[in-house]
Amino acid sequence: MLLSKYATKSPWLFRINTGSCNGCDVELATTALIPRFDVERLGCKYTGSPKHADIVLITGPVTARSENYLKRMLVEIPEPRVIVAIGICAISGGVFKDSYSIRGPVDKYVDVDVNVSGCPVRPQSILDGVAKAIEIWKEKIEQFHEG
Amino acid sequence: MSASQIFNFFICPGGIFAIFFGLVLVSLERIAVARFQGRVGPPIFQNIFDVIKLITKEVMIPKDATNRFFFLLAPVFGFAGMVAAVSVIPVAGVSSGLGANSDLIVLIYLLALPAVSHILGGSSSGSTYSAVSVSREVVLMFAYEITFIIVIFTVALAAGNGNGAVFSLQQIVDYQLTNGSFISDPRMLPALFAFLIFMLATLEVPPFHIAENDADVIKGYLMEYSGRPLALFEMTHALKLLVLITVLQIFFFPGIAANNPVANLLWYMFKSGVIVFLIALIHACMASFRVDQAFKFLLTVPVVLALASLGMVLFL
Amino acid sequence: MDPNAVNGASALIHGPTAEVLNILSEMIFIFCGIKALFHKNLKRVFLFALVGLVVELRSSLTVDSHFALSAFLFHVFNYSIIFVLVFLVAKTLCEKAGTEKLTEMRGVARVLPRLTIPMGIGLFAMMGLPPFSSFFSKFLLVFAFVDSGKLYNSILLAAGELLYFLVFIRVFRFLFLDKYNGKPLKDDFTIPKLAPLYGLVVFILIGGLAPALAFKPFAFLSGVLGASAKGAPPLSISWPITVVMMIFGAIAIYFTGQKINNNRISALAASALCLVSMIPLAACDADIYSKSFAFLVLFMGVLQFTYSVSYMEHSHKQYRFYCFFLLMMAGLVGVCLAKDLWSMFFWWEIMSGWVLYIALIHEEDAFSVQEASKYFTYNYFGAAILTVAVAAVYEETRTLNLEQLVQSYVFTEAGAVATALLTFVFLMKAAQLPFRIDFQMHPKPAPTPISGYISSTVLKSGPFMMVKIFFVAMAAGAVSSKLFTLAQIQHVAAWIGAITIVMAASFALLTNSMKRLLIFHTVSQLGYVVLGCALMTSIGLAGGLMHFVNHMFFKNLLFLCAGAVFIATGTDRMDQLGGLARKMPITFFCFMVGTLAISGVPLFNGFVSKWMIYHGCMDSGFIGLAIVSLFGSVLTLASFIKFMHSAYLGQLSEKLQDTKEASWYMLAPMLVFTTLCILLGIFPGAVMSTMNSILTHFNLEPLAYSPGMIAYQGAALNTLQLSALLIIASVVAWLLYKAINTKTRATHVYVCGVGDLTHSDAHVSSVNFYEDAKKFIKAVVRITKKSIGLQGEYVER
Repeated sequence: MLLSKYATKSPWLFRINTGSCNGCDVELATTALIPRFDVERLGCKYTGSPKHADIVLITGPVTARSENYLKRMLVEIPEPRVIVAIGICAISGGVFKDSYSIRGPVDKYVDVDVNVSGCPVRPQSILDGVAKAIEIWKEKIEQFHEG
Repeated sequence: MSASQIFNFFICPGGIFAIFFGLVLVSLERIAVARFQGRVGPPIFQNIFDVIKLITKEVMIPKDATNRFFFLLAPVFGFAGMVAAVSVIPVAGVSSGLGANSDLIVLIYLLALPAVSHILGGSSSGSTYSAVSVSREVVLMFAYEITFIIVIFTVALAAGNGNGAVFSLQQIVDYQLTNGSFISDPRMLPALFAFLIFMLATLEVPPFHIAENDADVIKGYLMEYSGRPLALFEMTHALKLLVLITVLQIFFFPGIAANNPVANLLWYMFKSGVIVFLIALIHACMASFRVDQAFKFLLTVPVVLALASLGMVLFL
Repeated sequence: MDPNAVNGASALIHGPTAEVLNILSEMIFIFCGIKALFHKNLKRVFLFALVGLVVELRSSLTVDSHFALSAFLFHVFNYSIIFVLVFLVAKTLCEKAGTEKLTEMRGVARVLPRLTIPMGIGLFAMMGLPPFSSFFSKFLLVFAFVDSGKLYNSILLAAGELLYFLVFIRVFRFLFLDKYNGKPLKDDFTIPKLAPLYGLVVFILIGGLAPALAFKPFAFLSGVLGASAKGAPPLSISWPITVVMMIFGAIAIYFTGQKINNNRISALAASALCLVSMIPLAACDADIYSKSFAFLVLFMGVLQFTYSVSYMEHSHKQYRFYCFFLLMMAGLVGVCLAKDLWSMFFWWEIMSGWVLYIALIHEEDAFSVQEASKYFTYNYFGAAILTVAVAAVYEETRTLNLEQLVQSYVFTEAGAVATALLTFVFLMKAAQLPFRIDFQMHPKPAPTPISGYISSTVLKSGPFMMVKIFFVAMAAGAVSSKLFTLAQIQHVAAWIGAITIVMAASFALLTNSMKRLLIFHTVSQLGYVVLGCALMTSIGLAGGLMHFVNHMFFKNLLFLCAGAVFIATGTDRMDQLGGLARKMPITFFCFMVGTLAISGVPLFNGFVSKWMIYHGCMDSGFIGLAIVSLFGSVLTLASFIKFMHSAYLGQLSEKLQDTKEASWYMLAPMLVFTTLCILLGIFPGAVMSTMNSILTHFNLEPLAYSPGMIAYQGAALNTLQLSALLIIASVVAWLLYKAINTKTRATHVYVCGVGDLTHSDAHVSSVNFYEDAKKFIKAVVRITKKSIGLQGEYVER
C-alpha cells in the first residue's frame, strides 16, 4: 500500500523509562544527539508527547512505582504503533528479575514487537532495532486500515 | 472567479503547490540545521512523509477536552486562514493574488489566524501544559505584532513615495519593480532586520522557541493533538513559513528574473531557499530566550529598528 | 447682543459693590455646601442647602442681561415650591420617625413609600434634572451668564452646583437605598394629609412638562418691572410619538407589574412595547441617520427584554427595573429624534440622569449604590458643561434647531469653545478621556441586560451627537477661529479615541472580573468608533458608523454570554470559573463568535469596520493613529483569550459540576446577535445602502459597494471572496478528518505521570495569564501616574 510506504519514512520516537538505571537512556540520547549516529536521517524525531508517538522505546524493568504510570501511558499512545524493549531489563528484568519491587518485564503489560538487548544497549543496535521496528510498523499500518 | 484565479488558488502558487513547497522548505530548514551541526539530517521530503504518516494514525481526543468540536475545529481554522493568505498574496511575475483582497490589513489579520488556532486548540484540549504555552504565545504575539504593524506601515508609506500609503500588495511589488527594490534603499534596512526578527518570533524558531518548546512545555499547544488534526497543524506551519517568506520578498526584494512565469517561479523558489538557509543559520547558532527575556527583547530592539525606518521614510 | 447689556445697564447690582458681594457670596455658597454635605440633621441639611442656593441665586442679579430678572424670578419660584415640598416631607418624616438624625432614618423610604416619594422627586428637582421645572430655570440662569459674556463664570456656576448635587444624592442614599433597621413604622397617612404634597409634585411636573407656559408669567412680571425677557431661548421640547408611547407604556408596566408580579409577563410586555414603538418611528420624519439609530435602539430593546425573562427571574421588583429601563430607552430615542439641541439636551438628561441611576441601583447593595452614584456624579458634571455649551451655542447663533444651525453655525471664539465643550461632553458620554473618567461612565454592578444595553447603545449617543455637531459646523463652513480650528478639535478627538483604545484594552488584560473586562472593552471599542467618526471623511465616517453598528451586536452578545455564565455559576470572577464550554456549549459558541468579531478576525463583522477605519486613518494621513489603533486589536484578542480560557476552557472545577446551559429565553437573543455578527461579516453590503444615504445626508461622497464588497478609491475589501476562500479551505480540511481514516479514541490528557492533581489545581486561571505583559503594563501605569504626581499603580476594585 502506497500510504504505508511513505508513512513509515516518518517514525517518531517516544521514550518511557520504567525505572531503568539510566544507562540505556543515555545511549538513546546519544543516538539522537551525536552526529555520528544521527537518527534524523531515518526521519526519526524524539517527541515529548505520547500522542505523537509511533515507535515506543521502553527502558527499565518496570518497578512497582512506575507500573501504574506505564499502564496509563500505554493507553495514551495512538495506534498503529510499535513497542521496542530497550535493554536487558526491559526484555527480562535483567539482574533485577524476581526482585521484591519489580513487576516487569514489559511484555506483561503490552505485546513487545522488537527486543534490543544489551546492558546498556549500543547505539548501533538501537538503530538496528528502530529499522526492524519500521518494518513491523509497515505491516501494522496495513492491518490497521484493513481491520 | 476566473479559471486562472481558480488555478492560482487550488494548484499554483496557492493550494497544492504552496503546501508541498512549504513542507519542503521546512524540511530544508531541518537539513540545513543538521548540516550546521555536522549531522546528515532528514530527507528533503521528510515533512511531506510526516504529514502522510499523521493522516494514517488514530486521532486521540482527550476526555478532559472541554469542547470536542472546538478541539477539532481549531486546526481547521488556522489552516483555512493560511490557505486564504497564500492565495491573496502575489508572487512577483507569477500571479497577482486574488484581486480585491490583496491588502496589507487583510494580511495582518490572516497572519494572526494560526496563532488564534493554536490558542483555541491548546486551550480547549484541557491540558495544563497547553494552557501555559497559550499564555506564552499570546505574550509573544503582544510583543511581535507591534513590530509587524510598524514595518507594514513603513513599507506602505515607502511604496506610496510621498503620496500617502499604498496598501495593495501588488502595487507594492509593482512600485519596486519599476523603482528598485527596497533592500537597496538604506532607509529600509532597519525595517528589514526588524522584519527578520519578527519572522523568527512568529515562526517560533530559536531564539524564540518558547511557546512550543519540547524541553519545558512538551510541544505546548500541540501536545494533545495526534493524527489528522496534527497533520493540519504541520501544514499550517509550513504555509505560514511560506507566507512569511513571500511577504519578506514582497516587502524588500520582489525582483523578477525574466518575463516568463515559470522562470519567475523558479527564481522565487530559489530566493525562498536562501531565506530558509538564513533562518536555519540563526536557528543553529542560537539558544532560546526565556519568555520574559524574549518579551523585553521584542519590545525594544525590533521596535526601535522599525521606528527608525518609519522615521526615515517619513522625514528623509 | 444689545450694547446696553454690555454696559451693564440692565444689571441690578454693579460696580465694586458687586465684586465684594460676589466674593462674599461665593464663600458662603461653598461653606454652606460643605456644611450641608456633612451635617447629620435632615432639616439642617436642607436649611444649609437653602441658604447656599439663595446666595448663589443672588449672583445672577449682577448679570448684565435682559432677561436675567425673569430667569431669576422663574428660578426663585421653582425652588421655593421645591423647598416647601421638601421641608413639608422632612417635617412629617421627622415626626413620624421620632428623630431628626439622618443616620437613624436610614432606609425609611422602604417603610413609608407614599410619604417619601415626593421627597425623592423634590431631591431630583433640586439637582435641576428634567422633567422638573428647575431644569429649565437653571438653564435660563446659565444662559443669562453666557449672554452677558461671562462664559467662564457660567462654567464655575455649573461646576459649583456639583457640590449641592452631592448633598442631595447623599440624602437620597440615606433615605432610599440603605437597609431599614429602626423601629417598625406604620404607613397610615390619610389622603388629605398627602394631597398637598402630591399637589406640589404635580406643580413641579407641570413646570417641567410645559416650560414655555410656566415661564410666561415671569416674563410678563419682569416686563412690568422694566426688564423685558426678549432673547430668551425657546424652552419648548419636542415629543415624538414613539417616545410618548414608550413613556406611557413604561408607566403602565410599572403599575400593572406591581399588581400581577409576574416577571415573564412584564418582560415580554416591555419587549412587545419596543416592537410596537417601531411603527410610529417608521412614520416619523427624522433624517435617515437619526432614524436608523432610533430603530437599532428599539431593536436591541426587544432582544434585551427577551433575555431579561430568564435573567431577572430571581431578582426583585422587576417591574421597577423594566419601567426605568424603558424610560431610559425613551430618553435615548428622544435624543435620536430631537431636531434641536435643546430637546436633545432634555432627553439626554432623561436618558442618563436619575432614570438610569434608579435602573443601575437595582440590586440595592452597597457596591452597586457606590458605583451608580459615581456614575451619576460624573454624568452630572458632563451635564453641567453641556448646559453651558448649549447656552453658548444659542448665544452665538440665536437658534438651536439643527437644520437652521447648518446655515448659522459660527466659529467665533465663543463658538469654538462651545464646540470644544460639546465634543468634550460627547466624548465623556462615550466613556473616552483616558484619565480615570473612562469606565466610570459604565458602572459594573448593574444587571447584565442594562450593562449590555449601556455598552451597545447608550454610550453610542456620544459619538452619535459628535458626528451631528461636526457635520453642522462643517456644513456651515464654521471651521476656524482665532483660538483653534475644527480640524484641530477633530484631530484631538481622534487621538483621544486612539489612546483610549490601547489604554482600556491594556487595563482589560489586568482585570479578573468578567464584566469589568467587557466594560473596558466597550470603552476601547468606542475608541474605534470615535476615531472613525472624528475623521469626518467618507471612509472614516463609514468605518466609524459601521463599527458603531457592529459593536452593538458583538458587544451585546458578549455581555449576554457573560450574563448567562453569571446566572449559571453565580460568580463574576474569572479565576473561579473554568471548563464551562462542556456544560454550556451554545453559550460558548456564541461567545467565540463574539470574541472573534471583536478582535477583528475575517469572516466576522468587526473586521470590516476596522479595515475601513484603518484605511480612513491612512487616507487622512494619520499614520500614528493607524498604528496605535491596529495595535489595540492585538490587546483585544489577548484579553479575550484570557477570558475564553479561564471561563470556558481549561478544567472544570468540582464546584461547577452541576452547571446547566442557559435557558432559551437567554439563548435566543444571543443566537440572533451571533447570526448578525456572521452575516454582516460576510455581507457588509447589507447595511451599505443605509450607510450611503447617511453619507449623502452629511454631504460626503458615498462608497461603492456590492453585497459582499466595499471599495474606496482603489482599495477594496471583498469579504464574500475572502469568506469563500476560508470556507472552501475549511471544508477541504474537514474532509481530511472524514476521508482516508476516521478512527478516533478518547483518552485522558497527558500529565507526565502526575496523578495527584485535582481539576482546579490543573486549571490555569486568569490571574496566571500573561505575567510579563501585565508587569509591563503595570510599570507603564506606574510611571504615567508618577509623571502626573500620583502614587501607586492600577487598582482592581
